[in-house]
Amino acid sequence: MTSATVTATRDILNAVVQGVVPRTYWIKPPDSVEPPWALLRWLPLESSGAEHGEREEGDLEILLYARAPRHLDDLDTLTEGLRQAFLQWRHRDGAGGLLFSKRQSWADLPPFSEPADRELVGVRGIVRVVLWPRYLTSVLTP
Amino acid sequence: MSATWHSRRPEFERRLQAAQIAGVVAMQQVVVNAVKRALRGGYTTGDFVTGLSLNSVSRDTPREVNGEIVGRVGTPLAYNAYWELGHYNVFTRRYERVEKWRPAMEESRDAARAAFVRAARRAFAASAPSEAAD
Repeated sequence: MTSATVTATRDILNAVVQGVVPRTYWIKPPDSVEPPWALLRWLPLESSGAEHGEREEGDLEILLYARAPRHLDDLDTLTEGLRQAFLQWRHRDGAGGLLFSKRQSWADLPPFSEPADRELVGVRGIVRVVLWPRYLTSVLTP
Repeated sequence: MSATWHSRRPEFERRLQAAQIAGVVAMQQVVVNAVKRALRGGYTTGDFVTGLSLNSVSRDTPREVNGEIVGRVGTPLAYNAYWELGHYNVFTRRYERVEKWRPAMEESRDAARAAFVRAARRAFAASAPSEAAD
């Protein structure tokens, strides 16, 4: 992927998650962030080797944090919202190619102790996302 | 005159499974070594490395799960999990995450596969019935 494609892909995925969790960040949140918030990251992308390795897929990691016990119900609602958002999700536009989700899995993070903030509870989701460049999604693409 | 026929398939399957188990053990050991190497410097400065984290990296005994031989590498130490998965640190007052396990496992993937092939082949060859047995 080119750096422009990486940025475009991040923006698209960010918009999906932000629709459910407004405070969404990539890689690292700001130091004083108020829960609930979500953190996104690509785990390494893989290529099947077909079409010169241009068809890629990878795991999008979503970490969702909330403060217990105040936000426990919110955490369930947000997790369900994200699960639904990525259920049979696909995105296609003129500039990019085709992105779509495959399987997804969600699991509660274990309760942490010091030096971790003990009131902060989390959920970790892994969504398999497939990325096809535009020229491999249409025979009419020049 | 009579002829008898007997299948060696059950024996072959036993040998194949034993070879796979030997291969998975070899893979696990490669991963254990890689993770221990990665943990040598500790999660932050290395000033507080006690050896506990390194010595707690272990593997289980491979077993069959749904027709596949599965072996795990892990640690019983909970604090490894919150450094690996990330946590909001009450002392530094910011989100901290230092991954050692996943990168080590990814970097050792090819070496682990090669170890599997070597060990499985060796175990399969060693379990072959001798000619005299026929």
